[in-house]
Amino acid sequence: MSGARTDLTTGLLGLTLSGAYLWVARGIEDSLLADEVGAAGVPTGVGLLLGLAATLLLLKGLVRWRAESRAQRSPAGEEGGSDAPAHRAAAGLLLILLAYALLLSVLGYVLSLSLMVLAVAWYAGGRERLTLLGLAVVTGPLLWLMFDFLLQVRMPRGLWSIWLGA
Amino acid sequence: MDSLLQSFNALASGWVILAAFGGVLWGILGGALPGISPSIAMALLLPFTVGMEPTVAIVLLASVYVGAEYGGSIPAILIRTPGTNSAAATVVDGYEMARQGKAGEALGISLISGLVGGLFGLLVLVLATEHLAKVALAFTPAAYFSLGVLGLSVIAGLSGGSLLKGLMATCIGLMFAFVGTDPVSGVSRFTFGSPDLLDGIKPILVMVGLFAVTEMLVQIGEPAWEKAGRVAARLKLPNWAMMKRLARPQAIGAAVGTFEGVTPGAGGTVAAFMAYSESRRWSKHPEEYGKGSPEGVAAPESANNVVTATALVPLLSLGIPGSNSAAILLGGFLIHGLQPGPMLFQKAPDVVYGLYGGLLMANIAMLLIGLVILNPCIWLVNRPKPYLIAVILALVMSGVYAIHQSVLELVLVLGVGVLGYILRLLKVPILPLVLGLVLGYLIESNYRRSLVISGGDHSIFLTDPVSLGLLVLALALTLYTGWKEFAGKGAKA
Repeated sequence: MSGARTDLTTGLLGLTLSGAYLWVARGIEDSLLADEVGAAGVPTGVGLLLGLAATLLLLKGLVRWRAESRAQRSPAGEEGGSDAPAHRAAAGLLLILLAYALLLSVLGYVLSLSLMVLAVAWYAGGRERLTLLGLAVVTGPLLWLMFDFLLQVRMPRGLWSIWLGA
Repeated sequence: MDSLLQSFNALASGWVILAAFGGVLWGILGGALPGISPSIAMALLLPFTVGMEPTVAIVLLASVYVGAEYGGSIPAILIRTPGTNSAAATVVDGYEMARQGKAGEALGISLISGLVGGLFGLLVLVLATEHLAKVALAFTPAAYFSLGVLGLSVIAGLSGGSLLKGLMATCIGLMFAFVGTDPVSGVSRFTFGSPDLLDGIKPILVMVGLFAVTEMLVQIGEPAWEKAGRVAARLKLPNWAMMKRLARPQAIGAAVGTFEGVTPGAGGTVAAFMAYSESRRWSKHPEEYGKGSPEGVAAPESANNVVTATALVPLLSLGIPGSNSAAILLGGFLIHGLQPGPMLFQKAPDVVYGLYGGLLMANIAMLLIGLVILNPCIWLVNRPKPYLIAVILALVMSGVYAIHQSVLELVLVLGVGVLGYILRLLKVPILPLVLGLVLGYLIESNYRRSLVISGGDHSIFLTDPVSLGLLVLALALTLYTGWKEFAGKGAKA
């Protein structure tokens, strides 16, 4: 992404966030114990400051964009195109991690973690079947042992609790 | 003297020594992996420290920082790929020495210079921190508010060339800090009806998301890092003649590292490059730099290890983290209900002195582990990246869940990871966000407390001499950095 496009995008996102934040801050109720500033006072100030910084960045981006237009700007669509596979890869990884979070209480810690390790390693490009399987089979139980026995943290057993007990 | 005795007392606990060795080992291995910065290596361990005794947890995290600085130099010297940002300056002469068949010698110089730097930094930390904290003890709420503002003004130096983006990141960090129950009236804010958010968003979750999850989202789309191959490297410690030759660049590294470390926002990377440059300037043989000069390895390595201790001076005395790693360490304190700053010496002196003792032990551990860790590091760097990413994410997801056994927090961490990814894409610096997050409570509560005391009169911030001084300093710092940014752009144009 060019400098101007980055500034413009950041400025627009910042303005949107500022607007949404101020809207939510308006809904903060006042209490009888409230001081002069109130519970919404400082957050409102910060929301406005974000809006101001975003507006200035937007203006800066516009100035840079015009300057870049006058100079030789690269053809539209060329910039950022090469980043698309990386963003897709990140989005895919995120989906795997979200699936793990959602399945954790259903499948239990050991199975869902082993499946997550298998899926992530394969998705990241690991293709040696034995290594993939070995890693998945070892990581889940090993980390469970570490948490459950060493750190005394109970990890979810999911459906297995029927057989293993809660 | 008393603090020295208490520091040694802490070492009587076997767990502190174990934490120092374990942290350094983890740090060296993490630092040796390109893409795993000291702060990421620390963030990965952060959730695991929840159930630990505070001193052990803090020593563990600080030792990771110490170990990672040496670990980063291993791939820098062997495969011309710095494991950490601050090892980038070591590449120049370190890799050149390796090409000349002197990889073992370069690694030995890096290890010893790191040790010299680490011990010197520790001395500065012990001598400077408590005095600074004693001054800060006299602070009123107005002065604390201004101290928070001074901390935020550091964003000017952390914004990587864009003050506006740094300011926006700070605002986002403050927004995270305001989630939960209002500190004065008890009203809930930005919780969207979720009782899980009434206690606010824990800084640890934001830090793990921003550092560890974001990095993995980035790494999965990047090509595999270079392999170390079969490097015939056996670590060789410098002899006496070489030690004498290295004394000058090490001293320069120590001086630069001290200055850059106590200055919030500068950090080990700037220190390493500045030390390299200054050491070359003051060298009798500047022409040897860049061609495999041992001095070119010693100066940056001693500087970035000095920073591992001196970066803790503003954190422990004033509660202001000046670098990513210091921010993670602050997260470690907060997990255990400890707030770094002047009161830390009153409320938990055992933790502070334990940290001093632990850092001493960590430097010794770095020397001992450094002597034998080379081959395991080469083996680790050569592991295929997909499997490493899978194991790292298994640790992250397990560690986060283990904090409160909450699936919501897992999803929150992933959301913060996505936010970090977008911010990185838009070249918005992350550290100001962390600063806003950790200073948000200090600023808001003291601002409102001051106004309650003054009956709503804002001039209290200007009539309190300490507050006024801190505000003037904050303004000067912001204007200076803004002017530097403006002048730099003018010069480029």
